[in-house]
Amino acid sequence: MSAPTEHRELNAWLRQLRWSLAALPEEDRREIVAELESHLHDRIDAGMSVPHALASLGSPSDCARPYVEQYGAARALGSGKVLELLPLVGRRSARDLAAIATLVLCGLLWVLPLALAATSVMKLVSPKVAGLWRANGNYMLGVIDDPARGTELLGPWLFPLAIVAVLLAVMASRWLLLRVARRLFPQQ
Amino acid sequence: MSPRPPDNRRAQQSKGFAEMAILCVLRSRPHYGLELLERINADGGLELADGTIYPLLHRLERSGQVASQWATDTPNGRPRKYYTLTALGRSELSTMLAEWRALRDHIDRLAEGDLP
Repeated sequence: MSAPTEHRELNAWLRQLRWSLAALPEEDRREIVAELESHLHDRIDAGMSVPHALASLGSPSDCARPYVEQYGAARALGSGKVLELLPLVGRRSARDLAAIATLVLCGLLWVLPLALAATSVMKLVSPKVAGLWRANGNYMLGVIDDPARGTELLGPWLFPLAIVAVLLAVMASRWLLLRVARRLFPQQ
Repeated sequence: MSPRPPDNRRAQQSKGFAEMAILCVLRSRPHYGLELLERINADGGLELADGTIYPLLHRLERSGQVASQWATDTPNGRPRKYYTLTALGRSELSTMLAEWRALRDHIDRLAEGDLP
């Protein structure tokens, strides 16, 4: 391979690396690219061919992945938001039992709050048929076909109860996800 | 499940020890990435790939265990990023080494069948 071709190949690799690091702040991206460029030039100056030097680092996207993951983890842990922590823990669920258990537990934590929230919305639309019902000795949360067959137990208390349940679910899942994410991603 | 091939097992072990090895090498003087990699692989007996060390250094720097500075000390004037060990890194390394020695002693005793 001729020197200009190798030079083009090197620049293309660095350009792709820059793109792959797009999620990072500009200063960090520039620094990472400069460091890897310095590494590549050191390898080439020591006699390694450009294709071999590039192959030893892997593809630009493979090279960028650990940095992007580090930033994603740091951002999610810093924000403490359930919606950012969930995918972070989810990424580890393929190889970590605690991550799977956390996701399952979070899912269970949200069953009742979501049912209460959905019933509250239905109650706004159809107040006479939505609620917590007792009919024939059974309890049912949701919409009943014939309100005359049962007794609605919560009335307007359904709304504050749904809000409290959702808030408790947010707090509990946030606490759980933060604990597990800190263990899965130490030093972030 | 089939056993992990020896090369893969060695690579996983190397990754696990890499941070401790980096901090050990930086105790003596500042190093740049490639220099660190070559020292660790040659003297530390690890088999780290070229692309492995930089994200580790990045993480150590973000956590305050190492600090970095660019310097132009090459004949062609090309800059290199040098890493030094911070006080926090030195303290973390002491903890890591103590844990590593305790673990190694236990594994040695297990391997030699000394434990009841």
